[in-house]
Amino acid sequence: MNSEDAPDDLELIRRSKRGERAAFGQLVRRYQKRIYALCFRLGGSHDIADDLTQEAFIKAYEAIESFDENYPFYSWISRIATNNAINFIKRQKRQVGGEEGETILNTQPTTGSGSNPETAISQKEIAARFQAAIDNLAEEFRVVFVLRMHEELSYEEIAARLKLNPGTVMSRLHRARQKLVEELKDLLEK
Amino acid sequence: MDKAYLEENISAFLDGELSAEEMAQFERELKKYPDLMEMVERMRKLDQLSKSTLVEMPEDKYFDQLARRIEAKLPEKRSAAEDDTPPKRAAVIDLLAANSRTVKIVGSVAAVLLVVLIGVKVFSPTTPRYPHQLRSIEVAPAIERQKAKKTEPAQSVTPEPESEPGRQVQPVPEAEAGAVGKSAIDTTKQKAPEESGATSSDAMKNAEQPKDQSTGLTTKMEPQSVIVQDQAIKPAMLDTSRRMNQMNLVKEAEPLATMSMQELPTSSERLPADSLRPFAYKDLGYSNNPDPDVFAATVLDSLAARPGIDMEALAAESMGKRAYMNKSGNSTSNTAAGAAAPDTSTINLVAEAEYTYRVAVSNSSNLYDIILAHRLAEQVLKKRIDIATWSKRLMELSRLEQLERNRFQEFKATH
Repeated sequence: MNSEDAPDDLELIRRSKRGERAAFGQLVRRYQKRIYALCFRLGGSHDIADDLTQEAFIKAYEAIESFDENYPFYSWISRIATNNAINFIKRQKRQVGGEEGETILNTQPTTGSGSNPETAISQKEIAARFQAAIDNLAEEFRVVFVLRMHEELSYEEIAARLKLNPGTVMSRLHRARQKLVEELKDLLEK
Repeated sequence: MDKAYLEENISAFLDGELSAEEMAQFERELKKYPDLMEMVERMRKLDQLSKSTLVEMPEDKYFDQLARRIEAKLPEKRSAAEDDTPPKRAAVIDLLAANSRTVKIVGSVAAVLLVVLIGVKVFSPTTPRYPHQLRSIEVAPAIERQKAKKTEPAQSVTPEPESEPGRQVQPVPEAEAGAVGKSAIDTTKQKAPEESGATSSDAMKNAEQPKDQSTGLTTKMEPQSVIVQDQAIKPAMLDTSRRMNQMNLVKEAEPLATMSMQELPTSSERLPADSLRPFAYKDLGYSNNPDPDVFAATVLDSLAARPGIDMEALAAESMGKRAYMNKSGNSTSNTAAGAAAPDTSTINLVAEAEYTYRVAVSNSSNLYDIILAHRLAEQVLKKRIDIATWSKRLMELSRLEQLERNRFQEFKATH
């Protein structure tokens, strides 16, 4: 379908509210990559991102009647995806029995050790190391960092989304950056 | 700007969250500290790395399949027309319409059920919603008995909302009674003195004490709406199902009440079974939107994205004025929910949480207050505040509220 012919979000949302699953399917196709990327950043693996993306869209469809049409659909679905991912991380933490701040998802890559800066590291390996460093952040730091750097939300927006003070957002973001700088020191020095 | 301030605000500086003037000053001051400059430089590189390191996305084929899988899992929805009459109910209505004898039988059964339910409502102990109510319920009868000795015996316990002067809290319409949880209030208030033989010597002692001047809360405790038994056939039925939910909520919350200070979770993340969620969700039409994530997203999205709404100011207005600004004199403490205010006393936080919650559940339109109350409750737990202290304070609030109601009754009797 030509993009000019494609129905806008509002139309698809209204049709979804009437129970048209195909219309919601179009919304899924429109936003799934962004949501998937967000879930990947928060969840740390493709399998998790896959599950979280599915859950987010299904929850959204189940609650589509409550969606306020005055606001962008992406803002809503990304909130759902974020909350969903946070709850997943917390459940994961409880299941693993991890302490606060402990690494939950150990996705440290086996390649591209940063111990030797002289080693040529491919872009793919850098991406893997970067993601592993994010995964190593405690949930409260990880979420704030991802919302800021990936979703490019302002402090106020992050605060509203996570029900935090902007001051708390700032301090968590600072801590997240400090930890990441420490962990990726060799990459950043290059 | 000292070094500590600069360090704390590096992120705000990098993210352009400072004003132009602050940015310029920050940059000037930063030059005095080479180590901080180095940190800023590294963080800048980190941000660049973050922006240039994209998520490694699967191929388009994968997303085709993902979309198909999601579509296949989407539940069937009823059309809007069908929604007006839910299928189960529609089937019952059809059945009733088809057979008048069935109507009679169903009617008879319903009548018997109503009588039983009313009986249960009148004679059975009320299930408290929260652990603190296990104790607070004991207070009211003791006060009532004490008051009864002093005043005429026919004094009613339940004020009539319509005639309350200066009433601020909107009563919940009967039709909404099932969806809107007034339970935290009603379960306490419906408890008539003769229903419980519980005694509380502390309450007896406290009953005649002057109101607590440290919080000033007595002046804010308006008498709440009360379901009058002989007018409450429909609410009685609704209450029964709601009480079933409440029993579950109490089960969830009980472990918190029995924990010692050392055992309390250090963070809301480790609360057993998300015990505090009911505070925020259950009474907000959660049954219509049963996923808490979706619910929270919906409510917060509509509030935060609405132009002109300053979440911080709203929080300060809602939670802060009485306890933080008026009492503590902390006029600058306008942080959300007052949680970060250094000179805010625990008691005030707790009192505000409970008070706001009570007001919020009495007014179904005030969703934000409930969320704030939830946040406060979380803060209380995060700060490892002894639940016993919290419960004690809530008991005190309950006592003060009862006194206010009694005063109101006296006022009514004499005017």
